[in-house]
Amino acid sequence: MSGAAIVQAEGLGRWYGEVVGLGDLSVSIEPGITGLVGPNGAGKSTFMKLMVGELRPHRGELTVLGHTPFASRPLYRRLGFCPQQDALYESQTAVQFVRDLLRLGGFGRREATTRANTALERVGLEEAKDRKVNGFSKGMRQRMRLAQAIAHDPELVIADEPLTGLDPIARRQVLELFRGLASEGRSVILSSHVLHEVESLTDRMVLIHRGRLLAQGTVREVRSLISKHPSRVHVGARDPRRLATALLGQEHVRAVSIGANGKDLLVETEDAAAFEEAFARVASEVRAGVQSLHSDDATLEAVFDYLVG
Amino acid sequence: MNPFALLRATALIYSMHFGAVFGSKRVLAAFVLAAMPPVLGGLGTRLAPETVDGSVMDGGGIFTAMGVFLFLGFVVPMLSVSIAVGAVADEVETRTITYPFTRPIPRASLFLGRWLASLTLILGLLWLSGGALWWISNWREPGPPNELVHAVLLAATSGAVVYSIGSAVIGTEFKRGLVIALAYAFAFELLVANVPGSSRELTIQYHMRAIVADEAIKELDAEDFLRTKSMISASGALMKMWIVSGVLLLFGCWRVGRKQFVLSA
Repeated sequence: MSGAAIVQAEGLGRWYGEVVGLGDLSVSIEPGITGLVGPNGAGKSTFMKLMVGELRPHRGELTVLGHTPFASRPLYRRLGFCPQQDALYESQTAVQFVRDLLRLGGFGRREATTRANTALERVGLEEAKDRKVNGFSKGMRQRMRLAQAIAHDPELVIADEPLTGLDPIARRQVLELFRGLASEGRSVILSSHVLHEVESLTDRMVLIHRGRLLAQGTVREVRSLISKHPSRVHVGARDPRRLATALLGQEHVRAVSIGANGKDLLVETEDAAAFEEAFARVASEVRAGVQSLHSDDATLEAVFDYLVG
Repeated sequence: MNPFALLRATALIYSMHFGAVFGSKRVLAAFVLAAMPPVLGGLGTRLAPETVDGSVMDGGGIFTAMGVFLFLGFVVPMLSVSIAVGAVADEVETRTITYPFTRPIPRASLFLGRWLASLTLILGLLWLSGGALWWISNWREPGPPNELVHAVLLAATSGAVVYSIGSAVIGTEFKRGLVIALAYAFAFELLVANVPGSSRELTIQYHMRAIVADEAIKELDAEDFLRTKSMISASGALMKMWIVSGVLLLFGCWRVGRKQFVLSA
Protein backbone atom coordinates (compact mmCIF):
# COMPACT_ATOMS: atom_id res chain seq x y z
CA MET A 1 0.00 0.00 0.00
CA SER A 2 1.20 3.46 -0.81
CA GLY A 3 2.07 5.99 1.86
CA ALA A 4 0.37 8.67 -0.23
CA ALA A 5 -3.01 7.00 0.00
CA ILE A 6 -5.81 9.34 0.97
CA VAL A 7 -8.02 6.46 2.09
CA GLN A 8 -6.68 3.30 3.64
CA ALA A 9 -9.06 0.52 4.69
CA GLU A 10 -8.03 -2.82 6.15
CA GLY A 11 -10.54 -5.58 6.77
CA LEU A 12 -13.33 -3.05 7.08
CA GLY A 13 -16.68 -4.44 8.17
CA ARG A 14 -19.97 -2.79 9.00
CA TRP A 15 -23.37 -4.35 9.31
CA TYR A 16 -26.91 -3.28 10.16
CA GLY A 17 -28.38 -5.93 12.40
CA GLU A 18 -28.05 -9.08 10.35
CA VAL A 19 -27.60 -7.25 7.07
CA VAL A 20 -24.01 -6.90 5.94
CA GLY A 21 -23.24 -3.42 4.64
CA LEU A 22 -19.54 -4.06 4.19
CA GLY A 23 -18.03 -7.49 4.64
CA ASP A 24 -14.25 -7.39 4.63
CA LEU A 25 -13.06 -4.46 2.59
CA SER A 26 -9.38 -3.73 2.17
CA VAL A 27 -8.59 -0.94 -0.21
CA SER A 28 -6.16 1.90 -0.69
CA ILE A 29 -7.20 4.98 -2.66
CA GLU A 30 -4.63 7.35 -4.12
CA PRO A 31 -5.10 11.11 -4.68
CA GLY A 32 -7.02 12.16 -7.79
CA ILE A 33 -10.46 11.22 -9.00
CA THR A 34 -11.62 7.74 -8.07
CA GLY A 35 -14.90 6.15 -8.98
CA LEU A 36 -16.51 3.89 -6.42
CA VAL A 37 -18.64 1.56 -8.45
CA GLY A 38 -21.04 -1.20 -7.65
CA PRO A 39 -24.67 -2.16 -8.02
CA ASN A 40 -27.30 -0.90 -5.60
CA GLY A 41 -26.74 -2.50 -2.21
CA ALA A 42 -23.08 -3.23 -2.92
CA GLY A 43 -21.90 -1.24 0.09
CA LYS A 44 -20.80 1.99 -1.60
CA SER A 45 -22.85 4.27 0.61
CA THR A 46 -21.84 2.38 3.73
CA PHE A 47 -18.19 2.78 2.77
CA MET A 48 -18.76 6.50 2.18
CA LYS A 49 -20.52 6.93 5.51
CA LEU A 50 -17.58 5.23 7.19
CA MET A 51 -15.15 7.47 5.31
CA VAL A 52 -16.92 10.63 6.46
CA GLY A 53 -17.33 9.38 10.02
CA GLU A 54 -21.08 9.20 10.00
CA LEU A 55 -20.75 5.58 11.05
CA ARG A 56 -18.07 3.60 12.86
CA PRO A 57 -16.79 0.30 11.49
CA HIS A 58 -17.65 -2.84 13.44
CA ARG A 59 -14.34 -4.32 12.44
CA GLY A 60 -11.17 -3.33 10.65
CA GLU A 61 -9.23 -0.10 10.35
CA LEU A 62 -9.95 2.98 8.28
CA THR A 63 -8.01 6.19 7.86
CA VAL A 64 -8.95 9.13 5.65
CA LEU A 65 -6.25 11.76 5.06
CA GLY A 66 -4.46 10.12 7.97
CA HIS A 67 -7.36 10.49 10.42
CA THR A 68 -9.74 7.98 11.94
CA PRO A 69 -12.93 9.50 10.55
CA PHE A 70 -15.61 9.19 13.26
CA ALA A 71 -16.26 12.65 14.73
CA SER A 72 -12.80 13.79 13.65
CA ARG A 73 -12.80 17.57 13.65
CA PRO A 74 -9.34 17.86 12.02
CA LEU A 75 -10.58 15.66 9.16
CA TYR A 76 -13.74 17.68 8.63
CA ARG A 77 -11.67 20.81 7.98
CA ARG A 78 -10.13 18.97 5.01
CA LEU A 79 -13.11 16.98 3.79
CA GLY A 80 -16.29 17.84 1.93
CA PHE A 81 -19.16 15.37 1.77
CA CYS A 82 -22.04 15.40 -0.66
CA PRO A 83 -24.59 12.94 0.74
CA GLN A 84 -26.94 10.86 -1.35
CA GLN A 85 -30.05 11.65 0.67
CA ASP A 86 -32.14 14.51 -0.67
CA ALA A 87 -32.08 16.53 2.53
CA LEU A 88 -31.60 20.26 2.98
CA TYR A 89 -32.71 22.82 5.57
CA GLU A 90 -35.94 23.58 3.77
CA SER A 91 -36.71 26.96 5.27
CA GLN A 92 -33.38 28.45 4.21
CA THR A 93 -32.32 30.13 1.01
CA ALA A 94 -29.50 28.59 -1.00
CA VAL A 95 -26.95 31.10 0.17
CA GLN A 96 -28.07 30.84 3.82
CA PHE A 97 -27.72 27.07 3.69
CA VAL A 98 -24.16 27.09 2.38
CA ARG A 99 -23.14 30.11 4.47
CA ASP A 100 -24.39 28.64 7.75
CA LEU A 101 -22.57 25.38 7.13
CA LEU A 102 -19.42 27.34 6.31
CA ARG A 103 -19.79 29.20 9.57
CA LEU A 104 -19.97 25.87 11.37
CA GLY A 105 -16.70 25.14 9.58
CA GLY A 106 -15.12 28.08 11.37
CA PHE A 107 -15.45 30.87 8.81
CA GLY A 108 -16.54 34.36 9.79
CA ARG A 109 -19.84 35.68 8.48
CA ARG A 110 -18.38 37.83 5.71
CA GLU A 111 -15.99 35.21 4.38
CA ALA A 112 -18.67 32.54 4.66
CA THR A 113 -21.02 34.64 2.54
CA THR A 114 -18.33 35.23 -0.09
CA ARG A 115 -17.45 31.55 -0.23
CA ALA A 116 -21.10 30.53 -0.36
CA ASN A 117 -21.66 32.78 -3.35
CA THR A 118 -18.57 31.38 -5.09
CA ALA A 119 -19.63 27.79 -4.44
CA LEU A 120 -23.14 28.42 -5.73
CA GLU A 121 -21.66 29.99 -8.83
CA ARG A 122 -19.46 26.94 -9.40
CA VAL A 123 -22.46 24.63 -9.33
CA GLY A 124 -24.52 26.96 -11.53
CA LEU A 125 -26.95 28.18 -8.89
CA GLU A 126 -25.88 31.81 -8.68
CA GLU A 127 -29.23 33.03 -10.01
CA ALA A 128 -31.18 30.97 -7.48
CA LYS A 129 -29.04 31.81 -4.47
CA ASP A 130 -31.68 33.93 -2.75
CA ARG A 131 -34.51 31.47 -3.33
CA LYS A 132 -35.67 29.07 -0.64
CA VAL A 133 -34.38 25.57 -1.27
CA ASN A 134 -37.79 23.98 -0.72
CA GLY A 135 -38.78 25.30 -4.16
CA PHE A 136 -35.78 23.78 -5.93
CA SER A 137 -35.94 21.01 -8.50
CA LYS A 138 -34.26 17.68 -7.82
CA GLY A 139 -31.25 18.65 -9.89
CA MET A 140 -30.89 22.00 -8.13
CA ARG A 141 -31.09 20.30 -4.77
CA GLN A 142 -28.36 17.91 -5.84
CA ARG A 143 -26.18 20.86 -6.82
CA MET A 144 -26.92 22.48 -3.45
CA ARG A 145 -25.50 19.42 -1.75
CA LEU A 146 -22.42 19.69 -3.91
CA ALA A 147 -22.06 23.40 -3.20
CA GLN A 148 -21.87 22.85 0.55
CA ALA A 149 -19.34 20.07 0.00
CA ILE A 150 -16.90 22.23 -1.99
CA ALA A 151 -17.46 25.65 -0.43
CA HIS A 152 -14.64 25.37 2.10
CA ASP A 153 -12.09 24.21 -0.53
CA PRO A 154 -11.53 20.77 0.97
CA GLU A 155 -8.61 18.58 -0.05
CA LEU A 156 -10.96 15.67 -0.54
CA VAL A 157 -14.54 15.67 -1.76
CA ILE A 158 -16.56 12.53 -1.20
CA ALA A 159 -19.75 12.48 -3.25
CA ASP A 160 -22.37 9.77 -2.99
CA GLU A 161 -24.18 9.33 -6.31
CA PRO A 162 -23.64 13.01 -7.22
CA LEU A 163 -24.94 12.69 -10.76
CA THR A 164 -28.26 11.13 -9.89
CA GLY A 165 -31.21 13.30 -10.84
CA LEU A 166 -29.25 15.75 -12.95
CA ASP A 167 -30.29 16.73 -16.44
CA PRO A 168 -27.63 16.39 -19.18
CA ILE A 169 -26.52 20.02 -18.94
CA ALA A 170 -26.23 19.95 -15.17
CA ARG A 171 -24.48 16.61 -15.40
CA ARG A 172 -21.87 18.02 -17.75
CA GLN A 173 -21.48 21.01 -15.43
CA VAL A 174 -20.91 18.76 -12.42
CA LEU A 175 -18.45 16.57 -14.29
CA GLU A 176 -16.57 19.72 -15.26
CA LEU A 177 -16.64 20.78 -11.64
CA PHE A 178 -15.01 17.52 -10.57
CA ARG A 179 -12.41 17.83 -13.30
CA GLY A 180 -11.76 21.38 -12.13
CA LEU A 181 -11.31 20.23 -8.54
CA ALA A 182 -8.86 17.56 -9.70
CA SER A 183 -6.91 20.09 -11.75
CA GLU A 184 -6.61 22.21 -8.60
CA GLY A 185 -4.92 19.26 -6.91
CA ARG A 186 -7.95 18.14 -4.92
CA SER A 187 -9.11 14.57 -4.71
CA VAL A 188 -12.58 13.34 -5.46
CA ILE A 189 -14.16 10.02 -4.58
CA LEU A 190 -17.53 9.61 -6.17
CA SER A 191 -19.85 6.68 -6.22
CA SER A 192 -22.20 5.61 -8.93
CA HIS A 193 -24.06 2.58 -10.11
CA VAL A 194 -24.22 4.10 -13.60
CA LEU A 195 -20.87 3.02 -14.85
CA HIS A 196 -20.41 5.20 -17.89
CA GLU A 197 -20.81 8.27 -15.70
CA VAL A 198 -17.73 7.32 -13.74
CA GLU A 199 -15.90 6.21 -16.84
CA SER A 200 -16.38 9.61 -18.46
CA LEU A 201 -14.63 11.21 -15.51
CA THR A 202 -11.90 8.82 -14.52
CA ASP A 203 -10.51 5.43 -15.46
CA ARG A 204 -9.48 4.80 -11.84
CA MET A 205 -12.08 2.85 -10.05
CA VAL A 206 -12.84 0.72 -7.06
CA LEU A 207 -15.41 -1.97 -7.69
CA ILE A 208 -17.42 -3.12 -4.70
CA HIS A 209 -19.85 -5.97 -4.71
CA ARG A 210 -21.69 -7.47 -1.74
CA GLY A 211 -19.60 -5.46 0.67
CA ARG A 212 -16.26 -6.62 -0.67
CA LEU A 213 -13.63 -5.26 -3.00
CA LEU A 214 -14.13 -6.84 -6.38
CA ALA A 215 -11.36 -5.07 -8.25
CA GLN A 216 -9.36 -1.87 -8.27
CA GLY A 217 -7.33 0.01 -10.84
CA THR A 218 -7.85 1.36 -14.33
CA VAL A 219 -10.46 -0.27 -16.54
CA ARG A 220 -7.74 -2.10 -18.47
CA GLU A 221 -5.93 -3.20 -15.31
CA VAL A 222 -9.12 -4.57 -13.92
CA ARG A 223 -9.82 -6.30 -17.19
CA SER A 224 -6.42 -7.97 -17.12
CA LEU A 225 -7.23 -9.44 -13.71
CA ILE A 226 -10.02 -11.50 -15.12
CA SER A 227 -8.35 -13.70 -17.67
CA LYS A 228 -10.75 -16.49 -16.91
CA HIS A 229 -13.52 -14.41 -18.42
CA PRO A 230 -13.70 -14.18 -22.21
CA SER A 231 -13.22 -10.93 -24.06
CA ARG A 232 -16.13 -9.94 -26.22
CA VAL A 233 -15.70 -8.57 -29.72
CA HIS A 234 -18.52 -7.20 -31.84
CA VAL A 235 -18.10 -7.69 -35.59
CA GLY A 236 -20.34 -6.27 -38.29
CA ALA A 237 -20.17 -8.16 -41.59
CA ARG A 238 -22.10 -8.56 -44.86
CA ASP A 239 -21.91 -12.37 -44.55
CA PRO A 240 -21.75 -13.05 -40.85
CA ARG A 241 -22.55 -16.76 -41.11
CA ARG A 242 -19.53 -17.55 -43.24
CA LEU A 243 -17.34 -15.48 -40.93
CA ALA A 244 -18.79 -17.20 -37.86
CA THR A 245 -18.01 -20.64 -39.27
CA ALA A 246 -14.43 -19.64 -39.99
CA LEU A 247 -13.91 -18.04 -36.60
CA LEU A 248 -15.26 -21.05 -34.72
CA GLY A 249 -12.36 -23.03 -36.10
CA GLN A 250 -9.86 -20.79 -34.35
CA GLU A 251 -8.21 -22.20 -31.27
CA HIS A 252 -8.82 -19.26 -28.89
CA VAL A 253 -12.42 -18.53 -29.91
CA ARG A 254 -14.79 -19.80 -27.26
CA ALA A 255 -18.15 -18.90 -28.80
CA VAL A 256 -19.67 -17.00 -31.68
CA SER A 257 -23.25 -15.82 -31.86
CA ILE A 258 -25.18 -13.94 -34.54
CA GLY A 259 -27.15 -10.91 -33.47
CA ALA A 260 -30.88 -10.50 -33.91
CA ASN A 261 -30.42 -8.31 -36.99
CA GLY A 262 -28.58 -11.16 -38.74
CA LYS A 263 -25.55 -8.99 -39.49
CA ASP A 264 -23.60 -8.67 -36.26
CA LEU A 265 -21.43 -11.25 -34.65
CA LEU A 266 -20.54 -11.44 -31.00
CA VAL A 267 -17.29 -13.31 -30.58
CA GLU A 268 -16.05 -14.48 -27.19
CA THR A 269 -12.34 -15.16 -27.06
CA GLU A 270 -9.98 -16.25 -24.31
CA ASP A 271 -7.06 -14.38 -25.84
CA ALA A 272 -7.93 -10.99 -27.25
CA ALA A 273 -4.45 -10.33 -28.64
CA ALA A 274 -4.27 -13.66 -30.49
CA PHE A 275 -7.79 -13.11 -31.78
CA GLU A 276 -6.92 -9.71 -33.20
CA GLU A 277 -3.91 -11.21 -34.96
CA ALA A 278 -5.89 -14.10 -36.45
CA PHE A 279 -9.00 -12.14 -37.29
CA ALA A 280 -7.52 -10.09 -40.14
CA ARG A 281 -6.23 -13.28 -41.81
CA VAL A 282 -9.51 -15.19 -41.42
CA ALA A 283 -11.62 -12.25 -42.57
CA SER A 284 -9.62 -11.79 -45.74
CA GLU A 285 -9.66 -15.54 -46.46
CA VAL A 286 -13.44 -15.93 -46.26
CA ARG A 287 -14.23 -12.50 -47.80
CA ALA A 288 -17.14 -11.94 -45.41
CA GLY A 289 -17.21 -8.17 -45.94
CA VAL A 290 -16.25 -6.98 -42.49
CA GLN A 291 -17.83 -3.58 -41.82
CA SER A 292 -17.02 -2.92 -38.21
CA LEU A 293 -15.03 -4.36 -35.36
CA HIS A 294 -14.94 -3.26 -31.76
CA SER A 295 -14.26 -4.74 -28.40
CA ASP A 296 -16.24 -3.68 -25.36
CA ASP A 297 -13.48 -4.74 -23.00
CA ALA A 298 -12.44 -1.14 -22.44
CA THR A 299 -15.85 -0.02 -21.28
CA LEU A 300 -16.62 -0.09 -17.60
CA GLU A 301 -19.99 -1.68 -18.23
CA ALA A 302 -18.33 -4.71 -19.78
CA VAL A 303 -15.77 -5.05 -17.05
CA PHE A 304 -18.43 -4.78 -14.43
CA ASP A 305 -20.66 -7.29 -16.19
CA TYR A 306 -17.78 -9.75 -16.37
CA LEU A 307 -16.82 -9.31 -12.75
CA VAL A 308 -20.19 -9.61 -11.14
CA GLY A 309 -21.27 -12.33 -13.48
CA MET B 1 -13.04 19.55 24.55
CA ASN B 2 -12.41 23.21 23.88
CA PRO B 3 -15.21 25.08 25.73
CA PHE B 4 -14.88 28.09 23.42
CA ALA B 5 -15.42 25.89 20.35
CA LEU B 6 -18.42 24.29 22.05
CA LEU B 7 -19.95 27.66 22.92
CA ARG B 8 -19.36 29.09 19.45
CA ALA B 9 -20.82 26.05 17.71
CA THR B 10 -23.77 25.97 20.12
CA ALA B 11 -24.52 29.62 19.39
CA LEU B 12 -24.33 28.98 15.65
CA ILE B 13 -26.56 25.92 15.81
CA TYR B 14 -28.97 27.87 18.01
CA SER B 15 -29.16 30.76 15.55
CA MET B 16 -29.53 28.36 12.59
CA HIS B 17 -32.43 26.52 14.16
CA PHE B 18 -34.17 29.22 16.12
CA GLY B 19 -36.16 30.36 13.10
CA ALA B 20 -36.83 26.79 12.00
CA VAL B 21 -38.25 25.91 15.43
CA PHE B 22 -40.60 28.90 15.30
CA GLY B 23 -41.59 28.11 11.74
CA SER B 24 -42.39 24.45 12.35
CA LYS B 25 -45.89 23.02 12.07
CA ARG B 26 -45.92 22.12 15.75
CA VAL B 27 -45.87 25.76 16.78
CA LEU B 28 -49.50 26.35 15.88
CA ALA B 29 -50.56 23.43 18.06
CA ALA B 30 -48.23 24.71 20.77
CA PHE B 31 -49.90 28.13 20.68
CA VAL B 32 -53.32 26.52 21.03
CA LEU B 33 -52.04 24.49 23.98
CA ALA B 34 -50.50 27.56 25.62
CA ALA B 35 -53.77 29.46 25.16
CA MET B 36 -55.76 26.87 27.13
CA PRO B 37 -55.06 28.08 30.71
CA PRO B 38 -55.86 31.78 30.06
CA VAL B 39 -58.90 30.93 27.94
CA LEU B 40 -60.30 28.52 30.51
CA GLY B 41 -59.31 30.93 33.28
CA GLY B 42 -61.23 33.66 31.48
CA LEU B 43 -64.25 31.43 31.18
CA GLY B 44 -63.86 30.64 34.87
CA THR B 45 -63.99 34.31 35.84
CA ARG B 46 -67.21 34.75 33.84
CA LEU B 47 -69.07 31.48 34.15
CA ALA B 48 -68.06 29.77 37.38
CA PRO B 49 -68.96 32.10 40.24
CA GLU B 50 -68.83 29.59 43.04
CA THR B 51 -66.81 26.62 44.17
CA VAL B 52 -68.37 23.31 45.15
CA ASP B 53 -68.79 24.33 48.78
CA GLY B 54 -70.63 27.49 47.79
CA SER B 55 -67.91 30.05 48.50
CA VAL B 56 -67.11 32.61 45.80
CA MET B 57 -63.95 31.74 43.87
CA ASP B 58 -61.68 34.76 43.65
CA GLY B 59 -58.94 35.52 41.17
CA GLY B 60 -56.37 33.75 43.34
CA GLY B 61 -58.45 30.60 43.38
CA ILE B 62 -58.93 30.65 39.63
CA PHE B 63 -55.22 31.20 39.07
CA THR B 64 -54.37 28.35 41.43
CA ALA B 65 -56.84 25.93 39.85
CA MET B 66 -55.75 26.70 36.32
CA GLY B 67 -52.10 27.33 37.15
CA VAL B 68 -51.43 24.28 39.27
CA PHE B 69 -53.66 21.67 37.72
CA LEU B 70 -53.99 22.63 34.06
CA PHE B 71 -50.87 24.72 33.49
CA LEU B 72 -48.32 22.74 35.52
CA GLY B 73 -50.10 19.41 35.29
CA PHE B 74 -50.78 19.36 31.55
CA VAL B 75 -49.55 22.33 29.52
CA VAL B 76 -45.97 22.37 30.82
CA PRO B 77 -45.24 18.67 30.16
CA MET B 78 -47.20 18.58 26.90
CA LEU B 79 -45.52 21.65 25.43
CA SER B 80 -42.08 20.65 26.63
CA VAL B 81 -42.30 17.09 25.38
CA SER B 82 -43.88 17.82 22.02
CA ILE B 83 -41.41 20.54 21.08
CA ALA B 84 -38.17 19.28 22.63
CA VAL B 85 -38.44 15.64 21.65
CA GLY B 86 -37.50 16.65 18.10
CA ALA B 87 -34.44 18.67 19.09
CA VAL B 88 -32.06 16.13 17.59
CA ALA B 89 -34.62 13.63 16.32
CA ASP B 90 -35.90 16.09 13.69
CA GLU B 91 -32.41 16.33 12.19
CA VAL B 92 -32.31 12.55 12.00
CA GLU B 93 -35.81 12.32 10.56
CA THR B 94 -35.10 14.92 7.88
CA ARG B 95 -31.66 13.34 7.37
CA THR B 96 -29.93 16.71 7.60
CA ILE B 97 -27.82 15.62 10.55
CA THR B 98 -25.11 14.68 8.06
CA TYR B 99 -24.31 18.36 7.57
CA PRO B 100 -23.47 19.38 11.14
CA PHE B 101 -21.90 15.97 11.73
CA THR B 102 -19.39 16.51 8.93
CA ARG B 103 -18.33 19.92 10.21
CA PRO B 104 -15.42 20.56 12.58
CA ILE B 105 -17.61 21.25 15.59
CA PRO B 106 -18.09 19.37 18.84
CA ARG B 107 -21.12 17.16 18.15
CA ALA B 108 -22.49 17.99 21.58
CA SER B 109 -23.17 21.49 20.27
CA LEU B 110 -25.90 20.07 18.06
CA PHE B 111 -27.74 18.80 21.13
CA LEU B 112 -27.14 21.95 23.13
CA GLY B 113 -27.93 24.42 20.37
CA ARG B 114 -31.08 22.72 19.20
CA TRP B 115 -32.32 22.05 22.71
CA LEU B 116 -31.78 25.70 23.62
CA ALA B 117 -33.70 26.80 20.52
CA SER B 118 -36.56 24.50 21.57
CA LEU B 119 -36.39 25.72 25.16
CA THR B 120 -36.63 29.34 24.02
CA LEU B 121 -39.90 28.59 22.29
CA ILE B 122 -41.21 26.50 25.18
CA LEU B 123 -40.41 29.09 27.83
CA GLY B 124 -41.65 31.93 25.66
CA LEU B 125 -45.01 30.23 25.27
CA LEU B 126 -45.21 29.18 28.91
CA TRP B 127 -44.44 32.66 30.20
CA LEU B 128 -46.95 34.14 27.79
CA SER B 129 -49.51 31.60 28.91
CA GLY B 130 -48.77 32.10 32.62
CA GLY B 131 -48.71 35.89 32.23
CA ALA B 132 -52.03 35.88 30.40
CA LEU B 133 -53.55 33.63 33.07
CA TRP B 134 -52.34 35.99 35.79
CA TRP B 135 -53.79 39.00 33.93
CA ILE B 136 -57.14 37.27 33.38
CA SER B 137 -57.29 36.04 36.97
CA ASN B 138 -57.06 39.67 38.07
CA TRP B 139 -60.43 40.30 36.42
CA ARG B 140 -61.88 38.99 39.66
CA GLU B 141 -60.82 40.54 42.96
CA PRO B 142 -58.73 39.71 44.82
CA GLY B 143 -56.27 38.55 42.21
CA PRO B 144 -53.54 35.97 42.79
CA PRO B 145 -50.77 37.02 45.17
CA ASN B 146 -47.40 37.72 43.59
CA GLU B 147 -45.74 34.92 45.58
CA LEU B 148 -48.07 32.37 44.04
CA VAL B 149 -47.57 33.72 40.51
CA HIS B 150 -43.81 33.63 40.98
CA ALA B 151 -43.94 30.10 42.37
CA VAL B 152 -46.04 28.84 39.49
CA LEU B 153 -43.79 30.44 36.88
CA LEU B 154 -40.68 29.14 38.66
CA ALA B 155 -42.14 25.64 38.79
CA ALA B 156 -43.16 25.86 35.14
CA THR B 157 -39.71 27.05 34.11
CA SER B 158 -37.90 24.37 36.10
CA GLY B 159 -40.31 21.68 34.97
CA ALA B 160 -39.98 22.74 31.34
CA VAL B 161 -36.22 22.55 31.57
CA VAL B 162 -36.26 19.00 32.95
CA TYR B 163 -39.05 17.76 30.69
CA SER B 164 -37.43 19.28 27.62
CA ILE B 165 -33.96 17.89 28.24
CA GLY B 166 -35.39 14.49 29.08
CA SER B 167 -37.52 14.56 25.93
CA ALA B 168 -34.60 15.64 23.77
CA VAL B 169 -32.57 12.73 25.13
CA ILE B 170 -35.43 10.30 24.54
CA GLY B 171 -35.83 11.64 21.00
CA THR B 172 -32.14 11.10 20.41
CA GLU B 173 -32.18 7.56 21.72
CA PHE B 174 -35.43 6.11 20.40
CA LYS B 175 -37.14 6.08 17.03
CA ARG B 176 -40.59 6.69 18.49
CA GLY B 177 -39.36 9.19 21.03
CA LEU B 178 -42.55 11.25 21.13
CA VAL B 179 -44.64 8.24 22.13
CA ILE B 180 -42.18 7.22 24.82
CA ALA B 181 -41.83 10.74 26.20
CA LEU B 182 -45.59 11.26 26.29
CA ALA B 183 -46.04 7.86 27.92
CA TYR B 184 -43.56 8.90 30.60
CA ALA B 185 -45.14 12.32 31.14
CA PHE B 186 -48.78 11.28 31.14
CA ALA B 187 -48.89 7.61 32.07
CA PHE B 188 -45.96 7.00 34.38
CA GLU B 189 -46.00 10.42 36.04
CA LEU B 190 -49.78 10.57 36.38
CA LEU B 191 -49.76 7.24 38.12
CA VAL B 192 -46.68 7.54 40.27
CA ALA B 193 -47.02 11.22 41.22
CA ASN B 194 -50.40 10.52 42.77
CA VAL B 195 -49.46 7.40 44.67
CA PRO B 196 -48.40 8.04 48.27
CA GLY B 197 -44.85 7.09 49.11
CA SER B 198 -41.32 7.91 48.11
CA SER B 199 -41.79 6.67 44.54
CA ARG B 200 -43.41 10.05 43.80
CA GLU B 201 -39.97 11.56 44.01
CA LEU B 202 -39.22 9.92 40.69
CA THR B 203 -41.58 12.33 38.98
CA ILE B 204 -41.12 15.88 37.77
CA GLN B 205 -44.73 16.67 38.71
CA TYR B 206 -44.00 15.99 42.38
CA HIS B 207 -41.17 18.49 42.39
CA MET B 208 -43.19 21.13 40.52
CA ARG B 209 -46.01 20.75 43.03
CA ALA B 210 -43.51 21.03 45.89
CA ILE B 211 -42.40 24.43 44.55
CA VAL B 212 -45.95 25.79 44.47
CA ALA B 213 -47.50 23.83 47.34
CA ASP B 214 -47.09 26.33 50.19
CA GLU B 215 -48.50 29.24 48.18
CA ALA B 216 -51.18 27.21 46.44
CA ILE B 217 -52.66 25.83 49.65
CA LYS B 218 -53.24 29.35 50.91
CA GLU B 219 -55.46 29.99 47.89
CA LEU B 220 -57.13 26.67 47.31
CA ASP B 221 -57.90 23.80 49.61
CA ALA B 222 -55.98 21.21 47.65
CA GLU B 223 -53.78 19.76 50.34
CA ASP B 224 -55.06 16.24 49.78
CA PHE B 225 -54.19 16.43 46.14
CA LEU B 226 -50.85 18.07 46.65
CA ARG B 227 -50.03 15.77 49.58
CA THR B 228 -47.80 18.36 51.10
CA LYS B 229 -47.26 16.56 54.38
CA SER B 230 -44.51 14.40 52.91
CA MET B 231 -43.26 16.89 50.38
CA ILE B 232 -39.75 18.23 50.23
CA SER B 233 -39.20 21.96 50.48
CA ALA B 234 -39.51 24.22 47.46
CA SER B 235 -35.80 24.95 47.50
CA GLY B 236 -35.00 21.24 47.84
CA ALA B 237 -37.24 20.45 44.89
CA LEU B 238 -35.68 23.19 42.83
CA MET B 239 -32.19 21.97 43.65
CA LYS B 240 -33.03 18.39 42.65
CA MET B 241 -34.58 19.51 39.38
CA TRP B 242 -31.53 21.53 38.40
CA ILE B 243 -29.20 18.67 39.33
CA VAL B 244 -31.25 16.23 37.24
CA SER B 245 -31.27 18.75 34.39
CA GLY B 246 -27.49 19.03 34.53
CA VAL B 247 -27.03 15.27 34.52
CA LEU B 248 -29.48 14.80 31.64
CA LEU B 249 -27.79 17.59 29.70
CA LEU B 250 -24.37 16.00 30.10
CA PHE B 251 -25.78 12.61 29.15
CA GLY B 252 -27.48 14.04 26.06
CA CYS B 253 -24.30 15.77 24.93
CA TRP B 254 -22.27 12.62 25.49
CA ARG B 255 -24.74 10.43 23.62
CA VAL B 256 -24.97 12.71 20.60
CA GLY B 257 -21.18 12.84 20.50
CA ARG B 258 -20.93 9.05 20.41
CA LYS B 259 -24.08 7.99 18.62
CA GLN B 260 -24.23 6.82 15.04
CA PHE B 261 -27.33 7.74 13.13
CA VAL B 262 -28.18 5.36 10.30
CA LEU B 263 -29.89 7.42 7.62
CA SER B 264 -31.65 5.99 4.61
CA ALA B 265 -31.01 7.44 1.15
